[in-house]
Amino acid sequence: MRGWLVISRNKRVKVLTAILFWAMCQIAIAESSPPAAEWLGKMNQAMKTLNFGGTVIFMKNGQLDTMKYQHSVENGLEQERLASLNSPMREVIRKSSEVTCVFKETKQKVVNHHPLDSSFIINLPQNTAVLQQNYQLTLLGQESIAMLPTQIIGIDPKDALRYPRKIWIDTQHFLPLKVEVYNLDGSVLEQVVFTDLSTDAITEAKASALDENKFHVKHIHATQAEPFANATFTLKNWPAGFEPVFFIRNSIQQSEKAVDHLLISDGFSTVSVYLEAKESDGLKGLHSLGSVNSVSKVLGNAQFTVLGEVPAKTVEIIADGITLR
Amino acid sequence: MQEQLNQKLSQFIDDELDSHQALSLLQSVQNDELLKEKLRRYQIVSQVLKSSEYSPLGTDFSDKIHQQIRQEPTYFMPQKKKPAIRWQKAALAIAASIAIAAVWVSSKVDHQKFGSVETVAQSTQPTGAANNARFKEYLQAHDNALYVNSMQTAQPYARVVGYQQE
Repeated sequence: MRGWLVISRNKRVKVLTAILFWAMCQIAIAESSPPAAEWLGKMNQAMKTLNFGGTVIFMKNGQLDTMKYQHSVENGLEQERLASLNSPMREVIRKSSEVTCVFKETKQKVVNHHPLDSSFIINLPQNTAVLQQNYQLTLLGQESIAMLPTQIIGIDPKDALRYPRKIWIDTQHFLPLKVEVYNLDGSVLEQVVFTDLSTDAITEAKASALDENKFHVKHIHATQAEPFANATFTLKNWPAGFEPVFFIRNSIQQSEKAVDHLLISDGFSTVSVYLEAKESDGLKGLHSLGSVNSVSKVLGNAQFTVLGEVPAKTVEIIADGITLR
Repeated sequence: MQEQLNQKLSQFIDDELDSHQALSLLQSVQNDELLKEKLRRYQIVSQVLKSSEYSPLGTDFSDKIHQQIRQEPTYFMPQKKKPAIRWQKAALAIAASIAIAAVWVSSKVDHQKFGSVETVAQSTQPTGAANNARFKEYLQAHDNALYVNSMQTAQPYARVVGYQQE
């Protein structure tokens, strides 16, 4: 304080002017950058309309997978293609909501007619404004990813029933170049990172020429979705923001037993509720794989399994609220 | 009190303390710079008496090891459902033990302190194969993004951590 008084009046005026100028610049920068929700909206739009591709590293469940990624849009129809660079060699193609996974080494092909149209890179709700009811969206500065400038968006849940996330969005094309999902203790659960990105003209992503007859084909979700009102169960406990996406009666088991499948989502996180006939050796208790938690319980003659990319507490709350109609 | 500590330091260097006493002493040493310096002096004396040779080590030797451990990259391995803080404390305690044991040239490693590693390995054994197959099918039906993961798509059964509800 004494030092400040010793400085001449002219110098004090200059220092105060500099501080004032710096503060005004900060306000101007803050006002010029769009809010976090707007970044996510632009990212949503870019992911559905742009042709782009690159190399992506997926770090999930302690496993690292490097894949070539290609996204194309033709006649309004989205298509994604992933090709593994390392064994086990496989190719995954998504045409809108239908996903085909081809395992070249084991001659297996899985076709999933999944009713939910979601990207391999990130799940994002159509209406990003709704997100703010359950998540705090913040701008967290800028970093370079794959040698491209990005804006970091922090997505923190307002409760402890879902995971926090960060998304690094390319400032030029608004594409997500990095996504991190965090556990509630702050440790990283999952990462998806582009190591290079190209937005040059990319032709339609095509599958490799394969002799279909030599592959064992398995179909998932081949039946049509039904209204949830047709289900033989209801859910009492829904975390805020979760809505039903589809209800389907299916046979996903190898034993071809019927399984009812309800999927609910808040945009980022999805939770499945499976109902099947009770078995003596069925799944029991809590299970965990990376960010995915599941809990199984028996109700009458039915066995329920609640599974999703949410904390264990969330699947338990949902499971506790299941009642038979 | 001071004499007792000196006695314990001496016993520690001569490997006469059991694992609990040794760990307790190491924790005291960790928080006391004077004690740390004393332990170092005792070790030098002991080493010179036993072998007539002396390998000088800087006083910041253990600090440098701590620093290197902190700079280690994060590995994204499957995690157990335990509060992270407990692991951090355990990791710090083990790191401190290793660092001081490294200074103690004539030390013998007490392998019993690392028994918790075996417990983790046992607890991550997959549950029944049929249940894992079902878990994998539920995962496939749940979300398309799971096809990117080689562990779930290529292996016959997903390796899951299972535990019963309390």
